[in-house]
Amino acid sequence: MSAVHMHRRSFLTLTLLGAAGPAFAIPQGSERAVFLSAASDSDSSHWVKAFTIRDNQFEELYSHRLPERAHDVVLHPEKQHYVTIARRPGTFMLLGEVQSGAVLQELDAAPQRHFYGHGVFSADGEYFYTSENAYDDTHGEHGRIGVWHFNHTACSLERVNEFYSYGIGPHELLLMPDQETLVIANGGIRTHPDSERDKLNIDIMQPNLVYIERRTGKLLEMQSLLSEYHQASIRHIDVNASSQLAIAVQFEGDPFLRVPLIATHRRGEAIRPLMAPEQVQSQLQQYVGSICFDNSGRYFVASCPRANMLTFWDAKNGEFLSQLRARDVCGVCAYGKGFVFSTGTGRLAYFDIEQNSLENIANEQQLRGLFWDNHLTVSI
Amino acid sequence: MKVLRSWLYLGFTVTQTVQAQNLITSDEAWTQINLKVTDELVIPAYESLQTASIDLQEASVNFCKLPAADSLRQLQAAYLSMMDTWQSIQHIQFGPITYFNWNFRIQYWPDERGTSGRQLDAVISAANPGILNTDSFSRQSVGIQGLQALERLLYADMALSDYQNNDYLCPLTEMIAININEISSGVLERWLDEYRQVVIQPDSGGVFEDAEDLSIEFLKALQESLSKIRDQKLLPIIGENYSRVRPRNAESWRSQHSLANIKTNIKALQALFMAYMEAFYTDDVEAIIIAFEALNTTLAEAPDNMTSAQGSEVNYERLQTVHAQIDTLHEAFENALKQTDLYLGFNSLDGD
Repeated sequence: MSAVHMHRRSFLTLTLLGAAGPAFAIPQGSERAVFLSAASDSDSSHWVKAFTIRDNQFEELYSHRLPERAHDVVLHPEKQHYVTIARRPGTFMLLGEVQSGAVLQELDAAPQRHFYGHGVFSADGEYFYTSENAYDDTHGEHGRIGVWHFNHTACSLERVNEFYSYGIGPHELLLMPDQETLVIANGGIRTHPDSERDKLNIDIMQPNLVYIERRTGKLLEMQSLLSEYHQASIRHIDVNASSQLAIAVQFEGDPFLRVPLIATHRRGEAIRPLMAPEQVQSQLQQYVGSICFDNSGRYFVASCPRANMLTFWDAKNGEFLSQLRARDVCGVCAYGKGFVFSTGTGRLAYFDIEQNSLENIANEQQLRGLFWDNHLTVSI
Repeated sequence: MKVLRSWLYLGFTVTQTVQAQNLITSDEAWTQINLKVTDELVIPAYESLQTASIDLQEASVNFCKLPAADSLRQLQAAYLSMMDTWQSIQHIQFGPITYFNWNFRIQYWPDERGTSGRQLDAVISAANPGILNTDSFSRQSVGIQGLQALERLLYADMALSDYQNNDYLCPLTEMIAININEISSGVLERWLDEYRQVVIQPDSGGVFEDAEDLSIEFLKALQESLSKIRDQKLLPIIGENYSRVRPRNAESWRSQHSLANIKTNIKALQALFMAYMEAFYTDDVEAIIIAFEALNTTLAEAPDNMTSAQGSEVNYERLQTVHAQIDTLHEAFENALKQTDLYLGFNSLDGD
C-alpha cells in the first residue's frame, strides 16, 4: 500500500467547532467583568486596554499608552489592581487600578535585568513575583525571579529580593493552590538585550519546569521533557484547583519533527506529553501561544496563532477534544462555561464549550487596526 | 495615592485611528477570486508537478537500466523540470501540501544544520535495501526523501562514476523519484477531492472562518514567499560585499539553478497578485506592478545560477539589484495591505 493511499482518511473530518449554533447571551454575572490585555495598533502604538461586555458587545473602559509592547496583565488577588509587564527584552512594568483605570505606578526592572512579560501575586497579595533575565551574569543560569513587595497603603510595588529560577529564560510563573509554591516555566532560551530578540543557544537549550518555595526560593522539584525534546521551550502554563498543570510548548528544532506541544504535570510525576491528531498537529507549526483551564478545571484550551486555531483538551485523560478556527488567535481566559479569546486581528469572541456555540464580542471591523497581544485576563 | 494622569485616557470607546476599508466586502466576491486562483493557478501547478514527477520517475528508471552520460543528462533535465514546477507552487504552504510533512518531504530547505547531507551519507553507507519501498521510505528522515537529496546525488562531482561504482545509488534514486511522485499525486488528489470544496465553502466544517480568511491565506503565501526569497534565497549568498559572496548557501547551487528558481517564483507570485488585484487600491496596484516589472527585467538578464556572482562583479551587482528590487516589491505589497483590513498576522508573526 502506498504512503498516499495509506492515509486516505480525510483531513477534514475531525470535529470542528463553532461552525453553527444559535445566538445566545454571553454570561455577564452580577458584576460586570473587566477584561484586560496588552494590544498594539496600526500606528505602532502600544497599549494596555480594559473592556467589558455589554449586551454581548465589546465596550472599552480605558486605554493606557505603553512605551513598548507588553505581554501579560496580572491581577492582584483582591482584584482591585493589575500589573502589566513588558515582553522580552523590555524593562517596564505598570501598576494600575482595575475599575477606574488609574495608573498608580510605573516601574523599571532592576539594573542588568529585563522582564519576560509574566508575573504572579502571592495569595495574600503581599508579594509579586516576576520572571527576569540576569543577562550579564556570566556564572551559570541567567533566570531570576524578582520579588516585589506590594504596599497596600501606598498602592505601590517595591523590589525587595530575587531568587534563582533554576533555568534559563523563565517565562510564565504561577502560584500553586497550596499558596506557598511557585511553578516556573524555564523556556531554556538564552537571550541578551544587545542581540535584541535573537535566540543564542538553540542547539544546547535545556528547558525545564521548576517548583520553588515562594518565601525562600528553595528548589522543590525540577522536571524536564525527554532529552530528544530538549528544544521544546516550556513557555506557558496554567494550573487548576487540583494542582494539575497544563503546559504549552514552542519547539525550536526542525520544523518537520512531530513533537508534543502540549503537556500536563502533577508534582512528583513525569511531565505527560500530549499529541493532537496528525491533522491538527501538522498545522501547528511548532508553536502554542497560551494555555488556560476552563472554570471547571477539567478542560483546557491551547491557542495556536500560527495555525489560526484554538485546540481543546480534556485534562483528566489527556484527550484532544476538538479545534476551532480563529485567525491569529492567542489570548484566552476562562469565562462562564467556556472561554473568551482575542486575536491579532482585533477580534474578541466567547466560545461556550457546553453549547458548542460561538459568539463574537467584537469583530475586526469594529476594532479595525487593533492587534490584541499574547494574553487575555479577566477580573470578575 | 499617586495617579499618573499623563498616561490616563479614561472613557475611550474605540480608540483606533481611521483606516481604509476593504474594497472587496462580500464572501461571494472573495470566493470567486479564490476559486479562480484554485482552478487556474493552484490545481494546474499541482497537475504539472505530478506530470513532472512521472517524467522524473521514468528518467530515473531509464538511467538506472544503464547509467551513462547521456541518460544522466536526461535525468538531470527531468530533475530541473521537476524543480521548476515545484518552484511555481512552492509558495503555497497551507492545505494538503502540509499533510504528512509532504512539504518538507518534497524539499527540505533551508537546511541550516546540514541534515540532508548527513543523513543521505548515512543511508548510502548503510545501504539498507529494506528502506527502499514506499511505506518504509516515506517514514525515513525528510532529509533523504526529496529534491535536495536527489540534487546531491545527480550533481555530485563524480556523479556518473559514483552511480557506476555503487549499486545502492540507483535504487535509492529511483525510490526518491517514486516518493516524490507519490507525494505529488497525493497533494493533487487532495486538492481535487477535498480542498477545492473547501475553497467553494471555506466556512463549512470550520476549516476557515470565511472566504476572506482563505483569501488572506493566499495573500500571506505571497508575502511570506517574498520574505523568504529576500532573506533566505538571496541574502545569505550576497554576504557583506563582493569578496564575501557565498554561492554555496544558495538553494540549488549544485545544479546551478538557484536564480532560475527565483525567476519561476516571481512569475508565480505575480500571477497570484494579479488574481487578487481588485482587493487593492489603484495606486498600490500600480506600484506593485511596476516593482514586479523592474524585477522581471533584471531577472531576464541574469543567468540561472548564483555561482557566477563569485567571478563577476557585474553578476554580483545584479544579485544585489534583485535583492533590492524584491525588498521594494515586498514593501509595496505591505503598504498596499496596510490600506485594507487584510491583516496577515500579529501574534503568528511575532509572538513570545
